[in-house]
Amino acid sequence: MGELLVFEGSWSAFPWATLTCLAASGLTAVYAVRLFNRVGFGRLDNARADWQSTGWRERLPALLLSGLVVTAGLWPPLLLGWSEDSTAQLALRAPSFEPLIAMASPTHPQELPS
Amino acid sequence: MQTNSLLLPLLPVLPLLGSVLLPLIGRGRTIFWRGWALIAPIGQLLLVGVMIGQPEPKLNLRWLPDLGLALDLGLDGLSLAMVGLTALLTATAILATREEQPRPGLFFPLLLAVNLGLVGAFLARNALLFVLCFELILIPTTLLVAIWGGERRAGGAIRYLIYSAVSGITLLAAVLAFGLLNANGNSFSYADLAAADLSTTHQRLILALLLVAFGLKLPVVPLHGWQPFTYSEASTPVVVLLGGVVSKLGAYGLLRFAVGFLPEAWVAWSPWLAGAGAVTAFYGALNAIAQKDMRRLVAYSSLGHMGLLLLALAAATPLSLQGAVALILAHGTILALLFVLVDLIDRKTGTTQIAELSGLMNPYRGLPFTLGLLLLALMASAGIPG
Repeated sequence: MGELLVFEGSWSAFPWATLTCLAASGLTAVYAVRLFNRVGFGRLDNARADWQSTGWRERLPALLLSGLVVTAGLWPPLLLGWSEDSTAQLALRAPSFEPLIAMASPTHPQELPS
Repeated sequence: MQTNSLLLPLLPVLPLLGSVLLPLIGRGRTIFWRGWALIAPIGQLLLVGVMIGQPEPKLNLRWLPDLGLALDLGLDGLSLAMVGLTALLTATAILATREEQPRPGLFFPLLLAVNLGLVGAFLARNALLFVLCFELILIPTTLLVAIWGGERRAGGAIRYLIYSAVSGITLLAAVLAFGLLNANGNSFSYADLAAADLSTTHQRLILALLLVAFGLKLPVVPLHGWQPFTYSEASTPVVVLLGGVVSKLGAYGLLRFAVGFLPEAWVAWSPWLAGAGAVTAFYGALNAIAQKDMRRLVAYSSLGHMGLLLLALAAATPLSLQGAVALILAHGTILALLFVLVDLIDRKTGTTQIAELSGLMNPYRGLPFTLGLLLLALMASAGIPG
């Protein structure tokens, strides 16, 4: 969700930089799949594979964070609702191409036209 | 005074009390230390919950007026999100400590001191107070890396110390210049800095200093020398805080000071900043592919995401800034999850070297539960579903 908003919001101002970041984001899938394929699959080393399973106490922080990640992914207001007003006041460019700052003289962004 | 404004000081007071009292009351096994230490971040989470949707609480107490330093605190939506993330990841860091944590009487108070510095920085409405909190984070984090890190922890701590010290000095120079040059005369309050009438040259000078200070903290290429090494050498609870929130302080600083107070200079330089963001994103992703160690892979992956953050801040549209905050929250949580899972694999298998691990999805002798969560975290890191 964060990436999507960044790409959509940055596209009008810097299309080439956004495209480069989009390609870099695609590479995330490459190393994620490569890591999971190497570590998750293949043959277990019999000489070493005698470890115990993880206990629930050890799993607790990972479970809490996983729950939050899934919840935020399925219900984006959890990420977006907090700061919408604050960030809107700080914006320097309109969603279109024209920088708001070029249209107004005050230095305080809160005084810029919305 | 509103109830919210009465509750506001509790956010920094809880970790302050925790870090001071914990060595006095903590005894016995790690689980007891952990329980006491958790009181502060859980209390902060409850306070954040109470304050959501309420009018912005404020507190302004005189401290050292001759210096322009005031205990000026506020909690708008941006600060609320950052304080919530700090509390969540501090609780995660405490829960992620091992069963027999060495020297708990020093470890947990230092974690809470980092929390104190972070919360203070996010609540500050006075630039000198922000610098003070920014610097407060440096000592406990360096000690946490140096004492409880991996085999090469000394190198990781020294790199972190040097880069952070340069970041802190540069930030102080920027803030002093900002305060002294603004037309309101020797004032460091955010309201006065936002209304400051600075010449173009002065704006660009201050912005250059801020870019170095926060670029080192975030970090962005080419100021990232400390990050992969320190992330891979710090213990898991420490890297959860370092990567999850301390580095995000750089993004918060850029948003609050550079975008907020120096809009003309920021817009003028934004094409270069967007380019730097793109280079950082690509450099981080390519390096992540080349890594042989899972911790370093996650570290470079994090660097790539910082590039996206810089792009969003450079664009400075309402949507990109909203995306930047969402990315800060999502990435902080996902990065913490990845490091926690890599630590679980390390605890059970004794290694994080990718070449030495295989078949962990085996349902009988592998670690299928941990690997299932790792798959989820990797998907979230790639944008699905977090």
